[in-house]
Amino acid sequence: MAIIRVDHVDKSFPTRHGTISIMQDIAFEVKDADFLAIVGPSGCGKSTLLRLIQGLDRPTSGAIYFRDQKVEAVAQGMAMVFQNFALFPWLTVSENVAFGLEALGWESDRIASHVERYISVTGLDGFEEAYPREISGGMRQRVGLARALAVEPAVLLMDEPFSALDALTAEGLREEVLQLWRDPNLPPEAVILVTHNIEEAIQLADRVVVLSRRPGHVLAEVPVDLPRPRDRKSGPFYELTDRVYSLITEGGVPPPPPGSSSPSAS
Amino acid sequence: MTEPSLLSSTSTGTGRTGPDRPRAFPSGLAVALYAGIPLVTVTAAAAGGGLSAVGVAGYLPRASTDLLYSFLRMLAAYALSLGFSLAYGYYAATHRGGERVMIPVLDILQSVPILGFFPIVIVVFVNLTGPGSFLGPNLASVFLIFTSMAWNMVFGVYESVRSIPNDLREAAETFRSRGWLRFRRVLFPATVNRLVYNSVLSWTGGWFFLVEAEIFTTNSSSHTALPGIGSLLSFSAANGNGSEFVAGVLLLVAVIVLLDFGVWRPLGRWADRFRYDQSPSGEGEVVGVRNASGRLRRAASYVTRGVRTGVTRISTPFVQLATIRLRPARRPGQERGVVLYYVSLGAILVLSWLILIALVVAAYQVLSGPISGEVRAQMLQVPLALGASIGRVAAAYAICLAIALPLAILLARRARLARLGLPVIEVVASFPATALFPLIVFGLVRYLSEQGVALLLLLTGMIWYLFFNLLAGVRSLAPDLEEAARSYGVRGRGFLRRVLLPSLFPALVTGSITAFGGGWNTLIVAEYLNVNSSHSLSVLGIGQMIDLGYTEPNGLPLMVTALLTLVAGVIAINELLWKPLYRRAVERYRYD
Amino acid sequence: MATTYPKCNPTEMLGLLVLLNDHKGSEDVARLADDLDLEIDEIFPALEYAELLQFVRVTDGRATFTDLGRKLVAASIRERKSIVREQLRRTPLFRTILRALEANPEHRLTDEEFGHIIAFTTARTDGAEQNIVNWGRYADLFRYDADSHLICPARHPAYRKGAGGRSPPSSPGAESPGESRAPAPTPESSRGPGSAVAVV
Repeated sequence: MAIIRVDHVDKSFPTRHGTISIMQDIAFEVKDADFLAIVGPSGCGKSTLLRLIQGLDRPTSGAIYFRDQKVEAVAQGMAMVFQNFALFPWLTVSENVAFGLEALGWESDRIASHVERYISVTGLDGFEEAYPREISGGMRQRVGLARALAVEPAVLLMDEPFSALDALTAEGLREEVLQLWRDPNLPPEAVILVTHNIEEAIQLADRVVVLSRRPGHVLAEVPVDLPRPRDRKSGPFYELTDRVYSLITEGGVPPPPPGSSSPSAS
Repeated sequence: MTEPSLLSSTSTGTGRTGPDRPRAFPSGLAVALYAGIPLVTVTAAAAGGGLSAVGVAGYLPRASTDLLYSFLRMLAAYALSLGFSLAYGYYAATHRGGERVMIPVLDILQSVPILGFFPIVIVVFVNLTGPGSFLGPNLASVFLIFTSMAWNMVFGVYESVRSIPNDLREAAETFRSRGWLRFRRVLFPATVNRLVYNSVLSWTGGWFFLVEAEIFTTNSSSHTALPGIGSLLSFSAANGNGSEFVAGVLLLVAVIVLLDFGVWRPLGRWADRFRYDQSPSGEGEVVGVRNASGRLRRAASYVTRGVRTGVTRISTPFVQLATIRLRPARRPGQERGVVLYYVSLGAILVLSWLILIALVVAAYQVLSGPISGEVRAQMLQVPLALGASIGRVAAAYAICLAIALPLAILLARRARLARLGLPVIEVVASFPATALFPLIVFGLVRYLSEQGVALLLLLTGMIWYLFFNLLAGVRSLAPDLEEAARSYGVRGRGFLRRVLLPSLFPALVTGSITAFGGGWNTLIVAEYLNVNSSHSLSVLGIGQMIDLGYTEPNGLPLMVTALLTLVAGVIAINELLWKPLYRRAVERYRYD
Repeated sequence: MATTYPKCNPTEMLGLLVLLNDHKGSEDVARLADDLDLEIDEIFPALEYAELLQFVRVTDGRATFTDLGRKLVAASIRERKSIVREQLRRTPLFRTILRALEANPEHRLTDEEFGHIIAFTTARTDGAEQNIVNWGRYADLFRYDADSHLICPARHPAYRKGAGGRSPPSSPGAESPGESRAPAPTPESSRGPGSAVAVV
């Protein structure tokens, strides 16, 4: 069953210079146990698409279905990890992780045990009482991750989660995210990762949706059949990255040079 | 130094609540709003005393002369402030020692309630220039207004010089422009934009203080009243002369409107040319917009923004004051620059000690002389009076908060309400409320009690500081955080309680600090006004004590005691309440 | 063995090891840096920590895994913490810190005391102390309370309201066997309940 169905979605914004079309006719599915990556040049609307999927914004036309129900408002059952962490500075790590749970109205005991579990799972033991400004970017994103996992979402949405981190930290965190994904005892059932880093997409995902430049439309869906853990220096890996690069290039925009981790706005 | 960006209301990225884009602010609306004020006054006056159009017209010439006096005082103070701020601000910004020592000194000097010193300043100047000379009180008032205008302009100059982009600075060096040329080509353009901005604000605050000061001098005493618009309003209200009062208000409104349209808006347009376009959103903020409507819009919003952001900029020195610690921060890795810190702190302390010693000597001389029994009895009441005043200011603050907080949240988050509501508030806030004090005191004291009137007066002097700071605070809620909250299903009341209010904490603290500052400054006319003893206002308070000391013969010891007690109280509250609160706000609540 | 404690956080070091793993466990340092489009000095901090904790050996500009390093990369998220803890405890700096914690009658260290200890071993760069604190937290060697500015032993309940003295810590979710708490709790004979509690 498709847990997420994007059904011919358009999105445009009115501006003082007229209407700008961000994306057109986006259609794809996300199934159970899918790790989907969405890549594309900057401005192609991939971050916007993620927000449409969660219901933070509405498509101009078309619809998005979560478990066959149309997404009208912010959907429970999905949780987002943000590029710039979006942690509340006046809350401790524990309190930040508990943030989404309190909104669900659980009793504090249940919240506490959940928080403890997901802090432990993401390797944040020892930081419970810390404030975001004390800890490094990598730790902060772990908190973002723990916060998302704590609400036990069916779908985990990740908006360029590693691009605000330095290259080494991103490497380390990516590996740990993969571990979490592969743990069958942990939520979620599906992950949608938006990134501008093609290597990252191919390293992590089962399938890559390639968007064109604005107005973004789906150029292709590239399956990644390589077994995990994936060897980034292997032939098949290179082939896949090349393939995605050329798709994007044909879409009209020169891709970033291979191995580059320079962030770009999307 | 804390970054003023915490307090400025310039846009933070593409905020959904609407960054400072120039709004269409129809000039007609502005005039209409300004007209509303005299309208209110007219109705009130008509209800109170006799009122006739002919009568009003008859008083206009006399009112004009009085207003002229007031205007000249403002002008003199402004000229002084301009010169002072240019010199001091440039110096502090371009010399390394400058910022470390001079800015904190200025901080300390301006945190004391200026108006509380007015009585003493008058006495000093009168003594210097001889009793009966018109120079004394005039110099005192000019000096007073100067102190209220100067520091915020100094900071404006200082900040804008500091933020000259480095390449421009280097270019000036390369071309070896020195002295006057450098000033004209590099330094002045960098500051002129900010200066105009801050001048608008300074004049707004200046009118408020000047009118208040003039009203103060009308208290019956052995000292003469200052001829000016404030005295006119005070006397006419006390004598129940509605027509004269209305004439005064009309003229004051006219002058303010004239200045607004004739001076500030054109100046704002001209100064805009010098802006380094640093606006983050960039859309529509093209410098040097060609079409007329764009320019007019920008000029209009310029002035109204001036009032709004200016009030929040007042907060900056308070805030910087609050962050001067007596000991360095106790956090790992935070002890750099300790030596320099202690050295500059030492310099400040030495200076303060010298001033303190001079004050102590003077106070001793006053207090060791003969004191009449009556005055002595009053002096004993001073601590109680301080307590009463603190309670009063706190009560007024609570009411301000109850009004300003919901209002700020509403106006910051509902664009439609803001489009109408904000211009109204900005116009109202730019008119000196003190001009209406006599009306309130002599007109309303029947309906509210004396305490009620005092509370109301205090409120008007406090609320805008709080409101505009809160407004800026709500607007600066990081879009990231808002999105995260929505993403996790936190909306409505929960959003307010768990996200918006905590994020407002820094703005709340700075707004409260400045609101209290405004409160202290309003005390001397909010607690005592006795023009001709037909109606009067007198409630127990430290402002009242200062006034009594001023108006009574041989009351100088009382005045000195009350003033010192007030200063001690303000400093104590600063140290025990505001500084710790602000430190916490900065440490725990700022989103970087 | 490297004796400096540069500014680097645990995830960063892990990232370097993951990268090295991609290169089959041994690679020129320069080439490692190149792979991520970094300058060599940008990976030095992570490399120095990895060397310090004995996860890699660096000879002639070439970095190679030790057995321990290989083990770390293969371990789970939680196992990594305990491996790092064991290694960190052997370093001079952390030995000193833990000893100081134990020696202190209240088993607490202030910012200043902590700062002095660090000043002996590493350059006082900006954020160096916070960095060390975070390593200690990550490895569960000690805790830091930002409100009271105190370093306390790991899982010391002093900062929880109403707790007096110490009780054996609960271990929610901790799977690594033989997880030791440092320092070991000592009896506080002359203390009544509540009096040893740190100010929250």
